[in-house]
Amino acid sequence: MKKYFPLEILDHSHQKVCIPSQIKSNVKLTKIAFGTHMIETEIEQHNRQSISLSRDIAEKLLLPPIKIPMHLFIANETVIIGPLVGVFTSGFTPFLLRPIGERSLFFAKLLSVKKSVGALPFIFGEQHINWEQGTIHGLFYHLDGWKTYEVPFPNVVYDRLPNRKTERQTSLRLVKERLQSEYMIPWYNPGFFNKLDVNDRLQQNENINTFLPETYAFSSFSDIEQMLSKYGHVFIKPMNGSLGLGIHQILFDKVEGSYFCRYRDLTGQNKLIKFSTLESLMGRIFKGKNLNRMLIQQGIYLLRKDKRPVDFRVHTNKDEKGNWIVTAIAAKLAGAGSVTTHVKSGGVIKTIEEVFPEIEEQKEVKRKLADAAIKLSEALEESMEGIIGEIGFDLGIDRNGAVWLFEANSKPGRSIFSNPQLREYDLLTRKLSLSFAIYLTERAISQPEEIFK
Amino acid sequence: MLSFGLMTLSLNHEKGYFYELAKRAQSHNIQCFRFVPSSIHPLTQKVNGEQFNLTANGWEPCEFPIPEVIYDRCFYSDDSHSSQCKAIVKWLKTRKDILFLGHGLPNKLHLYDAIANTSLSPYLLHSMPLSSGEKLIQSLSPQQAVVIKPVNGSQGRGIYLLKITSNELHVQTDKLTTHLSRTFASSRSAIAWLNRLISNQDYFVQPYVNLRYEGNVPFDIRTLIQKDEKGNWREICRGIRTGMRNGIISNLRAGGSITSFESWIHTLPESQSEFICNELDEVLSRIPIILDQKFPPLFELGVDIGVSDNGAIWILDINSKPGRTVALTLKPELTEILFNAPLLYGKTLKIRERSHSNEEIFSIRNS
Repeated sequence: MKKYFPLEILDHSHQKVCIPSQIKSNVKLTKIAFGTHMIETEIEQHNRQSISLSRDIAEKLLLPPIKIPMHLFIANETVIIGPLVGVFTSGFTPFLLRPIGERSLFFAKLLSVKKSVGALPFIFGEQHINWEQGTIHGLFYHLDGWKTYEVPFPNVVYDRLPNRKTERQTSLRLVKERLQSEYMIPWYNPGFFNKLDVNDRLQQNENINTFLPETYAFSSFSDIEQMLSKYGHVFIKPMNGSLGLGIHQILFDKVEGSYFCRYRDLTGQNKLIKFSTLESLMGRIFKGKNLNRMLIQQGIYLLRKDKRPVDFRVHTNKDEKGNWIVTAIAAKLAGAGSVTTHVKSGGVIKTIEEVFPEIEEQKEVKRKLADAAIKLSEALEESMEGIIGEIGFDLGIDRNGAVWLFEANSKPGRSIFSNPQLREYDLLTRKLSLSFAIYLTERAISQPEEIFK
Repeated sequence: MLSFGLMTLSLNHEKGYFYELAKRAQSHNIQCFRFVPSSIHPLTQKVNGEQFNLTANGWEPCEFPIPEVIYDRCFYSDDSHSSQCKAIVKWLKTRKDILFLGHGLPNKLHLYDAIANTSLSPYLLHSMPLSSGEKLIQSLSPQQAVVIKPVNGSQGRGIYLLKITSNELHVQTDKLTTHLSRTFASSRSAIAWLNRLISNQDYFVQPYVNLRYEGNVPFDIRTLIQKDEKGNWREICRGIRTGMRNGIISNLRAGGSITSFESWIHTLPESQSEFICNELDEVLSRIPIILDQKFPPLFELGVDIGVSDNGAIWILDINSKPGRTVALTLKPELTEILFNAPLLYGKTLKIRERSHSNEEIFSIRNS
């Protein structure tokens, strides 16, 4: 069983390391490690429930003066304290009050769960790495303030690059390459999903392809016509979009024989425009846009509440045992006349209880969504390269009660947690994104039960 | 006066060594320059570098023609400056009017291929290119751990020890002062890691032989062989280099230490020590002869030899740009020999070239 212990620095002894006596090891322990730093020393065991280090050892290991409980791992002759978790991002400012600009609060919240998790997280960027020394000047959030400490390379890295653009930067990619290949540091939440890629990979999995709306890369107008005749309406979205930007709904009115396009324009207005032909619609709305980067998706008649379509945001996280669990479910009501339920388009976040008054219905909806989200998480994890620790799903339930996947985000936004009743989930997801680091650290050390395929 | 160029990738490299050489140059009627390959002007073919001023006892900036004899001490890595300099050095080597003290050796895998079928083969670890993560993982067996190394690696960088068990892949490497290990619990993640590693540089695979002694400290025998004034190969020094406890490499950069060969060999039973010494003498005398047959002339070689648990010796590495730390640490009395050897051999090269061209003139006249 994993356990963490308070850390204690001994001022008056030298070269001393004591760990609780219930920690068992088949071999004599001769080394202590923190992150990628390791020193040889005698390891004693004591009857107290704490990890005690003499100050000289703590200094050599570059252990920052932050007193939080930490986990103990044993590998060969080495005691590893940690995990030291590096949260990789970009967009740093020179100001220690808000070192990551607008996102400082988000990161402060993420890091403040460290005590209850038993892991030591810090934020770092490319410029904080000292390759020669094998150290990082990491940003720690402790006692309500940001501080910089020089620490060894971490046990695992949690990728929180803000967007696709930063992810493509060569220098950031090289950092990622080097830490993963040369230093063998596990890296989780790599990259953003490409929508069509996600779809293609999931399509091949029979357990879950019933959740996938028909989706194609744009190739011709006749594809759109065909989908319109089959489903009555379709969505056109950018392959790598996020936040609902650039999503257009095209509807065909059989009675009138006319086409409608619903979208949010550059000024943030929700628009609905009528056309007599599909060609005129496409020519006008997508003028100057690269249609090859778009995909067409089957329209789905969603459940409605007060005449507004409802969809759902479901968060899944891997826990410290490596299992997928559902950490939050929220309903999103579309804004009046909006294509999507995104908050910026006038969407509203509600709890399931607020949308479905009947307890039986609440249970049923939650069960369906949770079941789909877990299956989808497992399938995505299997089909994607890299280690995924959390996923945000946009799911829908249609009028027949079937669940549909609209989108999967590897770096889900946190706007659903603005609903006061969903805040407790916010804490839970943050905790779990750090807990997963514990699981990864342990696995990178050893995992004897698993079959090596 | 013979002009002698000390060539590196940065004027900051090997400052101590170059100073010692330059100080002794004048007495051999040699003028020392130091420069970076990229500072040769492509049109004027003049070099922007530094020359040694004996009176001022230091280097001073100077523009000079490409020196007659070049001592190439460039240690390349993967960056753009390295590849730029590499190309310039390649061009320099084609110039008939410039003499290189040593021409260097090809990458480790090419070197292996060139000498695998010679009488050295019993002492070589079988080496294969690492073409893909999938293939390597498939070929691994729990009975045989392997080591993977970059074909252009030096100073113990980028070396990984891989051990597979029925359910996981265990990887170890040494970094600066620390020893890293990682377990990959699925072949998928192991393959992904390997493919990522080899996408940056070429790697080769060798079987792992247990080259350890007492207390899990890796060690090897480091030897330095050089040409003397007359161009004859001679062994300068043998030493023992030990690494970190439980480390996989005994490199100095990765935190190793140096001890004398004699103090180690005397700890062995006489029969074994005699066997090892004979084998070493044999191998060390053969290596330069075979390399001289296969490659352009060399001036010096660092040969790293490993001894396995059963007393067998293995050639771990042959380096045409060896360091002098082991020799200077163990045998300070060799200081003068070490700091004069490149100068004396450089002079010999130049004299030979002159007499060679004289011979050519004679032969033309005689015909």
